[in-house]
Amino acid sequence: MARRRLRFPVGVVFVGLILLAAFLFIIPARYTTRINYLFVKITSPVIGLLPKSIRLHQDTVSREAYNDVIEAYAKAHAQLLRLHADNKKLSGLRQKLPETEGRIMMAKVVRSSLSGARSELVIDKGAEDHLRLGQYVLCSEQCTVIGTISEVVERMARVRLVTDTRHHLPVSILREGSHNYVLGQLQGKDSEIAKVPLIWRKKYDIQAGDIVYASPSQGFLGLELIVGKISAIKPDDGDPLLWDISVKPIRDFSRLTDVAIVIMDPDSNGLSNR
Amino acid sequence: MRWKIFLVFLVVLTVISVSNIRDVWSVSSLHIGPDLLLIFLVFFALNCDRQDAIPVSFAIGFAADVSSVAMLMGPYSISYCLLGGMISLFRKQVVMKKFIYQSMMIFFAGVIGGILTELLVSVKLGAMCPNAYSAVLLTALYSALIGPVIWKLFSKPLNLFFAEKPNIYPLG
Repeated sequence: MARRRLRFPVGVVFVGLILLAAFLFIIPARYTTRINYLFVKITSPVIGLLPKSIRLHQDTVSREAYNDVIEAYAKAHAQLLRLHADNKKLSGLRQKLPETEGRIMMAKVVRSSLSGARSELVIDKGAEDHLRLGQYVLCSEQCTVIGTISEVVERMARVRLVTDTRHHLPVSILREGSHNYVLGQLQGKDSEIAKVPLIWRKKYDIQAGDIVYASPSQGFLGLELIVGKISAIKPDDGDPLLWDISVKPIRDFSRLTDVAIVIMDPDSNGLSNR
Repeated sequence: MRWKIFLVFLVVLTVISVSNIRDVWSVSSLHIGPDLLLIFLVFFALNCDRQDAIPVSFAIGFAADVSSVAMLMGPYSISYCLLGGMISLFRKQVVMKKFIYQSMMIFFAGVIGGILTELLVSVKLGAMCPNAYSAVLLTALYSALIGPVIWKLFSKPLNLFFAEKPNIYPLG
């Protein structure tokens, strides 16, 4: 018997699919994000095979610069060999950090999204690993603050980077050798730059190169940690009485492979015995 | 329409669009790159008959939602389904033989679809990214510049999707 293909009228198909899309849109995001995380989980091995970042025009350096880097690398490598060979990443990070009552948890970056105005990472640790919203996330190599946890599911979490336009972070600006902090709010601008708005020019002497620290936050961060450096400063075009301060993070986010999460209250997070 | 080939192609396209390969051709600190899903949405909406164009547009929108940075389901499905429906409705009235018209079609589809999607995302999240509209505009522009070239370069493999020869340029 010949197989008959079922064909609905175009209008019915159109309305049906729009209603289905609207239904997906109306469902609370906490249910539908599971699909997104499943996609990340399935595709991350494939995406991991592709080069992390291949911007040739930015990655090419002169022979002289290359030799300098190789020499510095050789020195660093020799130094590394002198250190305890069996030290794992976590203990290494712990050594770099000043004394704090919090704990550090390492996580792998499974996806980085640095497009448009959004700058986010997806990491392979989640609620099951005691991650909570608002926890500070550090670059595992340089111990600098790179963002905060913005969403947590069972085995994954999203990190909103400091350059994300929706991200706000209390910070303080300090010049090397000085003791006077300037307090402000760091706000993401694009995937490479963040801004510190509303700083009075008359009151505060700030220069390019000054260091920007994340301020301690009750229950989240017990000490000041570097976020970045002031890359440019000029009078604000909109209000010349204020500074227009651009902050560049220390680390290039597109190359991040590991991050560390600060867990400040291990007892309440069930980590006291670890 | 050969649906199995299309679905495999869509999965590959989605993986490519979320991978770091797009960094090769992305520009500015906003990492603006061409939107491959948008380029092929317009392509299929122009080349399929309406019966196929609408489910294809929905499937591409669904793939865009699944892989989107905002991690919300629905905004792309709604806007791409509407866009695909509209483009397939008017495709016989507009001659798409010249690159400039193809570019314009991709650009307007990108702007309308992008703005609609950003609006829906902001409705759901209750906040909007300050650079969202400039990112939409630049992405649409970039896609419009590169889209017709991709269609032309891959015109032969793209023929595989259609059981019958399509009647619209660039494959016709």
